Amino acid sequence: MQGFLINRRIQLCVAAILLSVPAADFAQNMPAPPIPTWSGLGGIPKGNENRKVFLSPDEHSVIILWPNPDGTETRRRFDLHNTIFPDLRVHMEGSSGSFRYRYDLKNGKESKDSLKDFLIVVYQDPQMQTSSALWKGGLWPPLLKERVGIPGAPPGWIATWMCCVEEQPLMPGASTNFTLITEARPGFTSASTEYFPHLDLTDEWPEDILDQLGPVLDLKWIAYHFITLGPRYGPDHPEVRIAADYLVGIQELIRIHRLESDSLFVKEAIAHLDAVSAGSSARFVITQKPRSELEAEIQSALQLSLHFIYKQPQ
Amino acid sequence: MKNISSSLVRWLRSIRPALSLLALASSSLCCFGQLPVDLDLPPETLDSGYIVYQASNSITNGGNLLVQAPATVTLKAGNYIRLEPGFHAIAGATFYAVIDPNVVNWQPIPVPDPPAPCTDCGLDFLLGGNQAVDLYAPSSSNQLYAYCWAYDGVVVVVVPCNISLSPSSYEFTNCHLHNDPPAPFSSISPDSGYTGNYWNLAMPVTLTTTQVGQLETVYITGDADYDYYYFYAVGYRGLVYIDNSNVFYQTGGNTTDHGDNYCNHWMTVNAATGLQSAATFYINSYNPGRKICINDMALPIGGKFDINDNWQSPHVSHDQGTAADVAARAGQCPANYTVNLSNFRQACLFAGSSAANTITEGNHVHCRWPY
Repeated sequence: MQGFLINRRIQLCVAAILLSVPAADFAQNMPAPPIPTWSGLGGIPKGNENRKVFLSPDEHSVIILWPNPDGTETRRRFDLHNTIFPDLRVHMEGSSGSFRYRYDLKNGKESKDSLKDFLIVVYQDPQMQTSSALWKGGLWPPLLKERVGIPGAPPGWIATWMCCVEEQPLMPGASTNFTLITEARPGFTSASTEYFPHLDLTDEWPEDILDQLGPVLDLKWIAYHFITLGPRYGPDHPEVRIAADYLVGIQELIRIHRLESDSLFVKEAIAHLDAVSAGSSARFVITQKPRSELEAEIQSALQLSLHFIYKQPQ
Repeated sequence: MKNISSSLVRWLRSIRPALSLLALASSSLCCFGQLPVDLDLPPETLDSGYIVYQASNSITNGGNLLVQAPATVTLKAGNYIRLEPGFHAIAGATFYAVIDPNVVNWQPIPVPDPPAPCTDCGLDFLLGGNQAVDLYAPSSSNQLYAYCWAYDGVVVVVVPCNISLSPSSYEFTNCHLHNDPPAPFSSISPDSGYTGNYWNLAMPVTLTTTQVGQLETVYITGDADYDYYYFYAVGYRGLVYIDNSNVFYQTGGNTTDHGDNYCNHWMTVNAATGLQSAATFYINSYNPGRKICINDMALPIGGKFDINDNWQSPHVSHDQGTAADVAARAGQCPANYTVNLSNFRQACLFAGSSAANTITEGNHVHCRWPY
């Protein structure tokens, strides 16, 4: 009977993984194209007659009107190497005031380009230990970066890793992981990954074309951003504010359809967070089972940050 | 119970290859780069900052290594430090050579503090201690007023007169050690007139500067008592000098008729802060114990950095002190200080450089920050 239960549990885990989506990412909700789009066929879109750089409709390449020595222009297409479908999962553990975060980054099989860097915005803990299974890098103080996609979140230090001086990029279908050990408790933060360089820019590129490429190559647009959970709160951060931040993050994830507002787990979490943010110091029990990996990550984070207890109904 | 155990053992055996791979992965965790085993120090003058070199086995100076006050330099090696002829620690400098068998783990170096802002550092260097003058941005139009002066028997006063103004430039200033062709200089308009036509006897004129950063003057003459010169400079304020340090190794001086390394390593504080950050991350990650070679940035007060000695571009993006060239190939730069083009470019981008203006130029990365 116990053997059956073990097998059954494994099956459930497998089913959960199969059902899950890369729930924490929001790159599918990418902002509007930063420059006008054009397929490169036919005439230049009206109102853009003086423009030299256009984004292709699929947003994976740029079409450039390249000047020739005789004064004419040639339409050239450059791949931006941003055809990636990454997935990021985080596993969090805590003991004796120390928290361990392991990030599993996977480059989706359907990606065309490899991944070459990974960046996560973290709490400013100089004692943070970092490691990577594949690439070199680590904590990069005192550089501050915005937590992209999380309204009102303060900037933080970054931990970042890159290939490819001697290391291999993460090819489509491959996975790797990164680990942080810190005193900082979990909260919503942002991470990003990308291929680089997106374009081989040299001094042969005309200055006006380089200037028009700026918005496309801005890391905030071209890198693939995730909302994830990571080190965000120092040991003395008030729980009232932590709870308020979680509410903002959850509402944003609902808004971008990464969480379902009618999820029982989400409803229960919001109710408890409302109470904590209003000043309650009770110890809250979550009884609803997470329905997705993102919900499971949030549940784990709430246990570590706000001492929520998870108790499955009998 | 027995059945469960045996099924677990079978399952564990079946996944043993995967477990082995996991163990291998966890044992190969890496973070920042590894300490070099043997460190060969290149020829260098270290004359500022706290500089530490570490190697797990040995450190040797391959050529001239000069330690001057106020620098504090520490060499720390696991087995031996060999100071060859050419090494000099000048009185007043602080120098340590430490044998430490425990020097095996690279300690990431911290990002240096941003350079202190200094509005007139470049101008002071240009003037060499002479009296400060006004400074106008390159390629700008500036409204000035021209007066005539005369002695009324008691004091010098402003009087109406017919006035004439002649701008010119001083040769060999702002590290432009070339004068063929001669430097262009600012124009002034109108360049003559009667100051009595203006209510305060001050004739408004427009000084239009060129793109060349240099010291200039306007000679003012008229039919009143006194002719005089108005001295000013054309360039940018706020550039600071970027020295050799824990992270930087200067190159490129004495190569283009623009002075030595003291002339071509001036930057805005914002750009210098970003460059320090990118360089430190790169060294800690990929090249521990070594440095980043920095070539052309800007001249002391900026303006056209005409490497072809013709007062024109190329090199346009070095005019304002917002860019630096970082060596990716050996030559002026010691081979073990060179960077990977793509990775250093990416480090610059993370450190705030402009994505579209941070490019590769053959043998170097050109990182450029917003002004």
